[in-house]
Amino acid sequence: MCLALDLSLQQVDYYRPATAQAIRESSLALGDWAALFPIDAISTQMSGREIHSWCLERLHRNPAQLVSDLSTFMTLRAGDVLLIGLPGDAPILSEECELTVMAPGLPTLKTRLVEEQA
Amino acid sequence: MKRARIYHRGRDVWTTVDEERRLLNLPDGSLVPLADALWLPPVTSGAAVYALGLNFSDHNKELGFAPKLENPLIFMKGANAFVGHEGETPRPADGNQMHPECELVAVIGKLTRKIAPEEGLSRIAGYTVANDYAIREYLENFYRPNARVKNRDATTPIGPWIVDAALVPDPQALAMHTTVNGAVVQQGSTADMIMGVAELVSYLSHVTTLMPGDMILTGTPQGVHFCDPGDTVVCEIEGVGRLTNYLVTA
Repeated sequence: MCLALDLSLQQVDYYRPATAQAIRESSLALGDWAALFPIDAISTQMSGREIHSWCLERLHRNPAQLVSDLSTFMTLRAGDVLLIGLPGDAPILSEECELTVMAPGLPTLKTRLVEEQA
Repeated sequence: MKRARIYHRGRDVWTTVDEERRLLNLPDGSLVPLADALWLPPVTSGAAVYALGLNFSDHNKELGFAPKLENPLIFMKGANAFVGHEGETPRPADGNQMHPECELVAVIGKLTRKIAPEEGLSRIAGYTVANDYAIREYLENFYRPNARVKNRDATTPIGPWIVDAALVPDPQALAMHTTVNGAVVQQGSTADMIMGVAELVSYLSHVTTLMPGDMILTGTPQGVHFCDPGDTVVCEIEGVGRLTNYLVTA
């Protein structure tokens, strides 16, 4: 498993998320992989300050349940990557910054948000 | 030229299609009769595949949606979803509202980033046909079709081949229809697309970089018909191809 930072443009409607807002170029940062490890919470920092933290207990389906449910209709292959979900209260970023995602037991993910080139 | 991907003597091979002589030409010069071909999805490994929902004005009217959504409804497909021409698709026992969706597929030919709609068609390598089956009772949110509806194993037949774009001068003037056991259940025209191929290429190119082999499933016209196991479902688009699929009990 690894940490991911899934950057999405703000959706007009939470219940009608437009894919185009979520699949922008280089908008999904993945950290280094590590062996399976029980994770309780994930913290995101902007330039050293925590801007978001969420507990995996909030997941509607835990990772094991998610894999099981998905496997009922799609074949998952070795190497497939599954993003286990996003909390609805993700923070909004408004300027270029350094971003760090941390969870005890997993390699820390660091990335930088920059202005998109025209 | 038409290009098809088949299973031949232990591997998958891209071939060219000679429809007149009913033959496939293999890269080593050998020939396979069309009737003997084992068709694979004509999809490049690793390609990104985008699919449109609610992109036909007649279909939106039939379902009671606004003629044009504020943002185009786009979802993505994994490689597990595809099955080739004359393949089998499992129809779940409780999928009583499983209906076929005939769609024109545009295949990207060049790296494409931030282009105007006027340049859109110049980036297309060719076209094929897909049947983007939906199972309506599994659909939880029309605005974001869930994987259980649109990413099921072998539930998106595609093919039989890719026709070069040069042979399809106007992708917005193609008749399309679906038959189930010979009866017509969908009939429409690519002229009814809300966002046409050129506009879709341009739109996506402002979101991401399109790469050769990437595909866009452009949406389906009106006609909602519920299918049963044992049905033979054929989707045909004028000048592009005729895609056959067999529904089997899951």
